[in-house]
Amino acid sequence: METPVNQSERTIRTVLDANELTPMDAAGVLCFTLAVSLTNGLWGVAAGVLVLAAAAASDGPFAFVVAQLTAVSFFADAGLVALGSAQLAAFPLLAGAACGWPPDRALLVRLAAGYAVALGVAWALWTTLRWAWQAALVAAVLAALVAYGLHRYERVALGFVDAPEANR
Amino acid sequence: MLPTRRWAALAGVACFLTVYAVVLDEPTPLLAACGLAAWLVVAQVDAVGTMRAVDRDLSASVSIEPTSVFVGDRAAVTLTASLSEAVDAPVEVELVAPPSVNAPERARRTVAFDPGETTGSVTCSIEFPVAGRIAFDEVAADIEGRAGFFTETVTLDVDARCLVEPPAPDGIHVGRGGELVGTTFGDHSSDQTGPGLVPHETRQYLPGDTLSQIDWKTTARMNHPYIREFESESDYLLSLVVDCGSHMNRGPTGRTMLSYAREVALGLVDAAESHGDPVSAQFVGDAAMEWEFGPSSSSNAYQTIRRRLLSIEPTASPRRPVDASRPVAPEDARKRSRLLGDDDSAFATTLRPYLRDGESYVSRVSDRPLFDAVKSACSRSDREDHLVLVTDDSAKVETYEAVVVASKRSSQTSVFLTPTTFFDDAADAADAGAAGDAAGFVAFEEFRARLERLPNVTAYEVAPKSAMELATTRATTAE
Repeated sequence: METPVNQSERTIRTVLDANELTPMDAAGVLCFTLAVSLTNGLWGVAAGVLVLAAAAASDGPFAFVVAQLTAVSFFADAGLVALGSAQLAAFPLLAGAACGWPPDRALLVRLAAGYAVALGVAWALWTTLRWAWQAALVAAVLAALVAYGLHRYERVALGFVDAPEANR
Repeated sequence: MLPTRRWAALAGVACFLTVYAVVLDEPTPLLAACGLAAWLVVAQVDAVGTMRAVDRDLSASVSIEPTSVFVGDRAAVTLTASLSEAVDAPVEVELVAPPSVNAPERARRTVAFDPGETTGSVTCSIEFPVAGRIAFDEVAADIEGRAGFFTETVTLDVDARCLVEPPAPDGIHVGRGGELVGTTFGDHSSDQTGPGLVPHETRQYLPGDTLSQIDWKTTARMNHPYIREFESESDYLLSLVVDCGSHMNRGPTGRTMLSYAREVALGLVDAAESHGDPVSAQFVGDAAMEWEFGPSSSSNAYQTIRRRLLSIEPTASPRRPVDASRPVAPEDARKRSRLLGDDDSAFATTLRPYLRDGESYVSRVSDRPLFDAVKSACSRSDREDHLVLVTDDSAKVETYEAVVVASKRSSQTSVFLTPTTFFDDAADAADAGAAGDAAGFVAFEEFRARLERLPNVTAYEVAPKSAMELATTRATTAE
């Protein structure tokens, strides 16, 4: 079977051309670099370069994940404000992956609201519960419950479930 | 709603970050995991909205052309789908083919809506290998969420049906001059009484007659015991000559001239079997005898001929044309030649060469397989026999001469003719050809009547009942 040309010639140039950096990605990289470099100096700039490379090399949430992993190193034992600003700075990276460019405004608003609620719940769990595993478990269960609830709603809304079964 | 691999990958990353947060005892990975979870939930809400919109706005219809086919035929099935409002997500509407049809691969029976499109249609060719009423009553719409995290399949009801008929003649007409023949072919009387089915006479009861012979109705009427006697059937050779040349392949699939001829031949074999008559069979192709069997009256013989009849196909090579002009028997030609005598008129001088060589006329058909087959069938037995020729009217000279030979050498000759005019493609075309059809049928009927004028010959037409009724009506109207 013939190999496609774009796969056989996989170079840095072709990858960068394929994953075009959107303004949303650029804003995300800029905000994150600014937030990290203000608190950590040159190491923050280095982390920003790493995130920029990740954003340029992929069109998914890879840059967001890389940003979060680098943030773990820089914001250990940080306060709410520092953590909040880092997460706020990382949001455009997530929005770039979720909404593309130009973004659908309604979707962007829903994502922002969901992101804010999710961070709020996570922070509340983290500060309220005694152990990290408890917070992680409760967060995972909550996410699973919401997803399952939406799934059941979809089944009923599309008429896949008869009324008696739906009432059970 | 089914999650895709993309969803699984992202959920996996979120789980990893959650575990990472527990291992490091740091909140940042947990916040990241919750951020990703928020994205998945928002995408799920968006997908539910898209799926509801498609479920509400999508309509589909299926049409089949033609709606009636024979087994093994193909029909064009068209799926048309439309969305009353465009959706910003890929939607694929697939024609769900019933299991009894041979449908093309999924891509060739699917309408794919790119985001923003509202209508689409696709036509595919579907083969129907099984007889029955095939229903296309469902189409499936595959909807994918905008983010590509979830898919769902919704079904829509449609109503398209196709009648797939078995490859066998339906409504067969066997008759003489348009009149149906009500009796069973192959029955024959012997003028002797004994076990049988045909009533012969009633007479008064005599000592020695069995109780089962008593005719109770006559007994009640006459107030005295009467018995009914039946004709016993005789040992009567049935010589079956079936024409299976390429010209018998006219007509639609499963309803060719040969299919109708086959039904008649099968009926004759059944009749012979029920009477215990010996039977011989000869199947004639375009160029030579294809198969011959018998005479035999064993149960295997009937079965062998029946199996062979069911499996015969028209031969491939076209028949060598024989002049289809109105034939004159050699004997008639010689008689007319004698009538001319010593007439020296210009008319007689011109005509005489045409009537002189009577033998060469017969030689035109003497090497034809159908003629040969009839001749050899007639010479097989010196006992009472019934020669049955099943053919069409495409080679009138050859058929006529074969029947002339049969009429002289057999006790009884039956000719079953399928009129080519009913099976020609041109005849099916349109009502515009009605006059032509009527003329064709009249010509056929003249030929059949001509055959019947020969001694000991009965000629029947074998045709689709509907076509026969139509032709009879048209012929009557034309008159």
